[in-house]
Amino acid sequence: MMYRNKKFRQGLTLIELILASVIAVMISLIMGMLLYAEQKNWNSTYTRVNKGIEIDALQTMITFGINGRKSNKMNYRVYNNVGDQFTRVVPLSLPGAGQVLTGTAVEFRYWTENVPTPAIMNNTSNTADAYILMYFDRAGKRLMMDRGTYDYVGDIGGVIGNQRNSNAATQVVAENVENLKFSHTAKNDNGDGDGSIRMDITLVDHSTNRSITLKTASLMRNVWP
Amino acid sequence: MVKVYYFSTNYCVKAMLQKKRIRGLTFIEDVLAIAMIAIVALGTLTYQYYGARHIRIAQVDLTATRIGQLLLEDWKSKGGTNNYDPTSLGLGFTTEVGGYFLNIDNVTLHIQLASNQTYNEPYAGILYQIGTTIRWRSDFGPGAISANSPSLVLTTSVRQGQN
Repeated sequence: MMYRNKKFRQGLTLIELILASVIAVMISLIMGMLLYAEQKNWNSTYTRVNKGIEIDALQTMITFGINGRKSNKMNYRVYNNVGDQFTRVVPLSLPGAGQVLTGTAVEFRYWTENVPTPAIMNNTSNTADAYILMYFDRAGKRLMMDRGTYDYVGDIGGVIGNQRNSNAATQVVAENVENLKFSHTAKNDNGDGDGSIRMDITLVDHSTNRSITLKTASLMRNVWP
Repeated sequence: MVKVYYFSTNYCVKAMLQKKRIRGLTFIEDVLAIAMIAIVALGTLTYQYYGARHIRIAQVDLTATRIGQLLLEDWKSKGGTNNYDPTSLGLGFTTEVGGYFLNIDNVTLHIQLASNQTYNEPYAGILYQIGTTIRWRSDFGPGAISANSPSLVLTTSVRQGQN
């Protein structure tokens, strides 16, 4: 008799079982969603910090800032370029002083540590021995940079005639560049600037539809002569 | 046989009665379970919200810092003059009461500039302390800023005529 009673002992009812299962499934789903979302956030944060347009923006700002600061404010150029054809930007009307001149390329000129002799640097007709040309590659949507030797005797830098100097070492500074403008304020009718180069660049990551507009300036610290 | 039949019938009735008294979940248990699920869900959503918000805050901080640096660098090229005007740069700065504003990367930055003479010496020349205060709304949108709005202050020095 006891055996038979035991056989009918109460366990979980079907409703309880279903409810417990539903609760367990919901908690599992919530935990799964949490883990999935956190993994996604981690990947997103990692991408922001280590690659993509954030890194390109940082690299652009540092490259532009460092090269601008060490350059000679008495000898630099702003150009407009279409492919490898470069045209120097000059005031469209006179007087030129005070006009904001805008282009798609800038050439910085500076002294390296490898100056042949102090006398060469001390000659006030020599203004630099190296150049950096930063320019917009529209077709490739990239910010490019050429490095090379500046011929202070023949005044030959990153642009020869209207062509980009083919002897330059070229590297990509940033990709996914949608817009790029360099500008400075002219101090005379020739289009020479006051030493502050401004950059306005927009980087767009089309895979996430995010964009960064970077507006920055670099004040050239060196004055020679 | 009769006895067994009687016992069996009695037992079935007893079992049925027992079954009727079986407990499901009480209302309190139900409410507790729902509350726990709600707390977990709410916690998750809040965590996600604050995560996204702080990413945005970091982005705006970075943008404001870049703009501040842009202004100070460019202002230095003008020797720290009092009549420095960012609207002349063609970079989107617009005049407003008490300063300037700029819409950039889905945030409106309100900018104030300040210049004070701090030093005047025959050999060193006149030194100016130039600074910029950049503010934005907590919701990053346009409109008036309040005393509690986030802000960023950058300051540097420039020698008059340094340009």
